[in-house]
Amino acid sequence: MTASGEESTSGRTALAAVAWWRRLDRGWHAVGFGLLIVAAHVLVG
Amino acid sequence: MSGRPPLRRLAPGLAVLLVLGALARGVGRVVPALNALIVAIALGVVVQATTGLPEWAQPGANRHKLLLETGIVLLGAQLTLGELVSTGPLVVALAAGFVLFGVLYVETLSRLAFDLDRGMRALLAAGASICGVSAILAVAGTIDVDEADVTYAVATVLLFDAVTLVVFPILGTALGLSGKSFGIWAGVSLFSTGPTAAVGFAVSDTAGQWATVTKLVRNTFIGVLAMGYALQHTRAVAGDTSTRELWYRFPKFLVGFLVVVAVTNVGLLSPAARASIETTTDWLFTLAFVGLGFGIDVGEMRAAGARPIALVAVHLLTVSALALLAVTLLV
Repeated sequence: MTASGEESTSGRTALAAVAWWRRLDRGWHAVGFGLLIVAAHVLVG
Repeated sequence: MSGRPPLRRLAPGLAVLLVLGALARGVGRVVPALNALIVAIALGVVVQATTGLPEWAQPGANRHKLLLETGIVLLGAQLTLGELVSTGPLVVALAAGFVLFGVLYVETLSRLAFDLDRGMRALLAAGASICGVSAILAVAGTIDVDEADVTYAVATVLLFDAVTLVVFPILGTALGLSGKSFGIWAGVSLFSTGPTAAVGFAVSDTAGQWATVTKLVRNTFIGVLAMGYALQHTRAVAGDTSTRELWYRFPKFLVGFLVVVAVTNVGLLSPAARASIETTTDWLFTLAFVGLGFGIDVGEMRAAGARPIALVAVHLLTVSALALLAVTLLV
């Protein structure tokens, strides 16, 4: 696969991930943000 | 407008929430008598009533429920089940008994004597029986309630926090209770954690420590209560009671809340990390309250009248009298 091909594949994956995230229920968004904040605190200590 | 990238569309409104939230927290710090959450709501109401929220700020400001639910997920970091073990069975039994009694008492009284709707009943039952503002917000997130009801319930609980902050230390000294007895009594009877600890320490260090730990044990029931109301509400609104339908309507952020409780209780978070998460939670709630303020209809609150305040007063008097009796006999 060419470099430009790789870019478009990862780009499509990112777009699909964003589309999937936007389709989720607001409650799952809260779970995502909340766990992200907790994970950051676990990593920082 | 809707074609713009989400972040560019949301940023102006989120910035408005952040600026007004920071202002509310600043005022709350400079004037300790003014609770930052109440100032946040007031700022939202004033902006809405004067200039109105500009159209460019609405998409971001309308995300205040997401901020509220994220704050509830993070509340899980404040629940340490170790408190349950360390206090012994008597305190756990007293806390559990009075939480259960308080919820049933408020629910029953609101139906029979105060004619309050289902949402307000649940909010007051949570706020008065467990943990003031946090419990109100946790339950509000799980059921469909008017934003005006949430504001009114929070204001009612904060009003009683202020009153008990003055009255309970005077009563404690007058009754001549031991530090431990007074602490457990205050921990079982009062609403918000901060004022409960302050009331205890106003009497003695021992009273303060017992008040705080008893209150923290009571707080561990937030998740159970929110889950219970969520299931009840889901069943009530879903015509189809299949597991699939119930799960579809179930407030998903409670899953995150439980995960954070688990992460906290396996010891992955240091005390400093928990303190930092608590600060983040406070900020999220403040920002969410500015957003709630934008949607408040003062007329709706006026229509509720003084009944919620009267109900919470009856609850406080009953629970504190029964708790005093229990503490005198058992501790």
